[in-house]
Amino acid sequence: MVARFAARRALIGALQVVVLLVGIFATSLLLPGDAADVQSSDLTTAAQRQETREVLGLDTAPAARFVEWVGHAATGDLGTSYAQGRPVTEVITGPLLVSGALAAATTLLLVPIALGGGFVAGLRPGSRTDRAITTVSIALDSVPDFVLAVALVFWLALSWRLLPATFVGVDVGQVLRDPRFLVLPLVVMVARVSAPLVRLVRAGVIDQVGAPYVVQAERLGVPRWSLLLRHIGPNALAPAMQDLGRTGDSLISGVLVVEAVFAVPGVSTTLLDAIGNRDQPVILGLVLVIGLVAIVVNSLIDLAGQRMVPRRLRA
Amino acid sequence: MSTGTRWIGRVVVGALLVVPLAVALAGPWVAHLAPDSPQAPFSSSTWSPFGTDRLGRDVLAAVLEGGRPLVVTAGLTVAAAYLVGSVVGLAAATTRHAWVDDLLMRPVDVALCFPSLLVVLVAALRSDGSGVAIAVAVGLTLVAPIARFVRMAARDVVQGPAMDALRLQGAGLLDRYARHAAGRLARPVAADLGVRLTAAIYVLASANFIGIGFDTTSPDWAVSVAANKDGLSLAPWSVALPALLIVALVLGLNLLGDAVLGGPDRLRWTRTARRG
Amino acid sequence: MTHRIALDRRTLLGTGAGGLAALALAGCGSGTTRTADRSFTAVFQGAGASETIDPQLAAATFIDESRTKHLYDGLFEIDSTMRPLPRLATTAEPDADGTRWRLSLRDARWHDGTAFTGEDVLGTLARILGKQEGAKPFNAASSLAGIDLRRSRVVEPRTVEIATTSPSFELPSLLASIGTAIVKRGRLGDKPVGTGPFRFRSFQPGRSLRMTRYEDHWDGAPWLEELSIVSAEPEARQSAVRSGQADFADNLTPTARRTLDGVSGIDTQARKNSGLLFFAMKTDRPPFDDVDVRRAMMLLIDREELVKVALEGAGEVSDDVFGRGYQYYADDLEPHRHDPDEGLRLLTRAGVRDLSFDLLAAPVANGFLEAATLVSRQLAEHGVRARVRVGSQDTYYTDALTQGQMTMGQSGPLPVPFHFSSRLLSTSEKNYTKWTDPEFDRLYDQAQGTRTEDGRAAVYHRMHEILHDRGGFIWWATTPWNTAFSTAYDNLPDGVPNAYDWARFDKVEA
Repeated sequence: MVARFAARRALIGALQVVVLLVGIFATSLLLPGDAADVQSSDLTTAAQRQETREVLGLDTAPAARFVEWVGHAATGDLGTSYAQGRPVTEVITGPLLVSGALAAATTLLLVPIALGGGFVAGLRPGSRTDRAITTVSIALDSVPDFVLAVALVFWLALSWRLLPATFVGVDVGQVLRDPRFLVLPLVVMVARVSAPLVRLVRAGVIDQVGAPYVVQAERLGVPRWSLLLRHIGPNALAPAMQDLGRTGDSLISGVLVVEAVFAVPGVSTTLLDAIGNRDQPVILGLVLVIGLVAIVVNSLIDLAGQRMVPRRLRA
Repeated sequence: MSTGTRWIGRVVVGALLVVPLAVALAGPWVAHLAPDSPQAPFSSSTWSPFGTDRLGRDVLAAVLEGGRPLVVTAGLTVAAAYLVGSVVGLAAATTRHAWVDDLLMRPVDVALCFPSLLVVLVAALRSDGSGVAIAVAVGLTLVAPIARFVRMAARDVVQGPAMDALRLQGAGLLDRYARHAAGRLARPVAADLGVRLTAAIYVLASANFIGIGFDTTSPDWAVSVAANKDGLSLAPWSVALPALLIVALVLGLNLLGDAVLGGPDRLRWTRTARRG
Repeated sequence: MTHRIALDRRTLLGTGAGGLAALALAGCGSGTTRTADRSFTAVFQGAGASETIDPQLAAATFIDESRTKHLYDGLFEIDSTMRPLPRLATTAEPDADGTRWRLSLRDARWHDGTAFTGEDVLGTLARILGKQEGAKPFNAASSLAGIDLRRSRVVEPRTVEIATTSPSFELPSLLASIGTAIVKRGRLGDKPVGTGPFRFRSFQPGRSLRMTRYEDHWDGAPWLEELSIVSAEPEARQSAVRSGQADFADNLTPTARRTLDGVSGIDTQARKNSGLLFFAMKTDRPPFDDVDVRRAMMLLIDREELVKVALEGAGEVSDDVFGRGYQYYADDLEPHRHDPDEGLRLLTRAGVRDLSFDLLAAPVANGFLEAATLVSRQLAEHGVRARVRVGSQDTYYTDALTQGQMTMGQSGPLPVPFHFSSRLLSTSEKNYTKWTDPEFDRLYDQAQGTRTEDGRAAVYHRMHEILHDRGGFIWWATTPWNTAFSTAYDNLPDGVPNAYDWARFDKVEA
């Protein structure tokens, strides 16, 4: 059952990645101008722009360029950045490491917070604790990221000098060695992502607790911890798991503000920069990696969802 | 809980909702009382104690004017996205054929990986910064997460034992879905609506961050929060007032959702347990 | 992309994204006692992957300019009044007709210890005029196109002769233009070797350039031992200079500067006349092919209100003459002021009714969209309809050459002759106003062949008059350049952007 699911998903996943790449490439062509337009400055001439186009191979048809890129990518070669002339792998490795570290750390903190908060609130809806948790999570969710980020920088870094304010002038290695740098960005990201999750878990818990089967089970004397662990928990988590699965876009668009305020050299900035430069090899390379991760994560979540809520076999 | 505190709670929820909605809907009629000519930016104002924004407008006057576009646009965007997203999600959840599920949901996975800012950027640039085009793009980026969410939330409801039991009892389609399933889905969906609403509101703010062209002179609350952030320290109200109204609106909607979807009695774990 | 010239291509976080970083409830400055050490960090607006330290390519952004000027030197550079200033060249003497110049070179050494010679000069010129090597074009290729390499020669190691195909009495100014710094033998090695005041240590595009002091610099060794020039977005720049992570922050919004002003241990500077803002009317198409319509526009817009509102009061009204404060500026022309009655009279005279046109704008600089919206509103009051179209900030200055009837933009400080030659001759590549005027072209050639500075000034003045009367540019404001820095240091740079003493830290002291 699991093996079949995995094989089927792997096949579909490959197809999804191709569709994603085609979609991204086509969308990027809709942006006005090309890399040669961006690279030309106030000092350069139209003839130079044409020369740039030839140097970069932009004078060939977009479809041909795309097919060539995909061909190389299949062998592990993600091409060369238009803006920089360096291999794409070199351009994107650093940002992927930094964003990956941030995302991993966020998830580690996120799961206990979302579960704890959601269950505590959901098991006693209407209680003072529930109100406090709900209010804080909604408020955190509706305060703009940059206000939160800037307030934290102001108090924790600039006024009380507890933590470094930004990553300015710091190497990637230094960041990974000295975790103090990660604290402020992490706090903002966790606050941002956990707020909606807490509410989804809470809603799921409330719903399951009120479900007739739970009431029935209680009457029959099933111990409460067993109910919680075996029935309420898994069922209540299902919707929240879906939200966790939004890795793809939230990894890119969701952390933009964090990266900007703290000068984190991450994926989001790199992607926007590549979009700005019309640097399609970098755009495609980044989206390929992110897409693969997201599709795998989403499939795992679906698999987990199936395991948690077993249902009748399908045709 | 005493009736007294419950009453206070209702007043608070009511106020959280009524204030931003009243400001949004009635504000424009009051706003024209404010002086028309711009004053010094990010400094004190002659009209209200909240000072001026980056364009030298009175912060209060701008806020009075900027609620309606936000409430209308964000509301319509999320409603439309939810309509499309939940149709896809529900269809995927109810189907008995795995291939239909895959056909509907695998493209959604792809859409989830699509950078939403790229979509909004393209929409803005292709339409010369048209507000409608940007709203449609924002709505589009919301469809995929909504579809995925609704499918997962609905699946254990429509394919759960309760629905089977109802079917065996001969309950009609309408009865099963509209009454039972919709009732069970209401709570997670209400919680999710709040999430999407804030997402829709702040996609625009993030879009402003990356310099997407849209009318940055609009007094729309989300635009004000994003565009005035430069002056956060000099004129905190220029950011805080529209931000507070957004927070109140979202908080109010969420609490209202909770209140409508069931009184504390049905939901009290402890009480249910005690009754047993 | 841009720009030393057209300032501010794009800050990733948009232009209005300035400096919220300090939630300083004003006055409660988190003062630090700063001590000056010999390691200095400066933060500039980054440009991500496209940042480069190749001096022939580095023109796109200010951070590139600041980085390369520490590693390399030019023959000439321009000062804050846009006059050429000898650097690696000590003197330059033209022959009688201005087609051959003799340059004496300074006694300077490369970072690897070898001597700087005329071969390096000709090698660099050959590189600039040669074939493009990568994705980026050489920036000086068109401004130096008049140099005749085959007739140029090294006379002795420290003397070169540079020949031009036509009289060019402004050659030193051209040799000071962007992208002309001298590289050894005209080639870049694996590790950058320059003659500049700092040696290369490491470079990560989008992140930082680290350098160490070069003791043998011809202009004296810097006091600083280490210099890092780091990329960051506006928020992070402000936090970094406040928290002491950086000693200097470049390119702040007016509001950010106001915020940092109240912080102890930090000084700020607003360098006037640094950004020159314009509306450009395309003179080759209706409605702006009519002289009276152009004249009317100059009078219908209310510049005072634009500066007060769109620029948040941080700027000075300008008068349709390029280059206030620079050499060859014409300060005796009557400023155009807000005069709607006269403007409407001109429109009536031109027989134009229901005037409407497209105004192409993009968020490429602080206050641009605000200014576009406001102008559209001002004109609407007089029955003129300007439809604001918002373009892509990434390709805006390329698009502005062909699209829209009116566009807008920002120019950095440039020598007036260079402004004329790059934007206003019928052969100019960046002719935003589609200005073609045989008399104007002839005057420009005449100036290039005029030996004395006074003689050239008279010709340039005539050219200013033409544009002021009927040109397509409306120069409506100039804006200051805002920086913030630690008070622990002295001798911080204070030139306008593009000038040699802008963003140069080799004279910084405690």
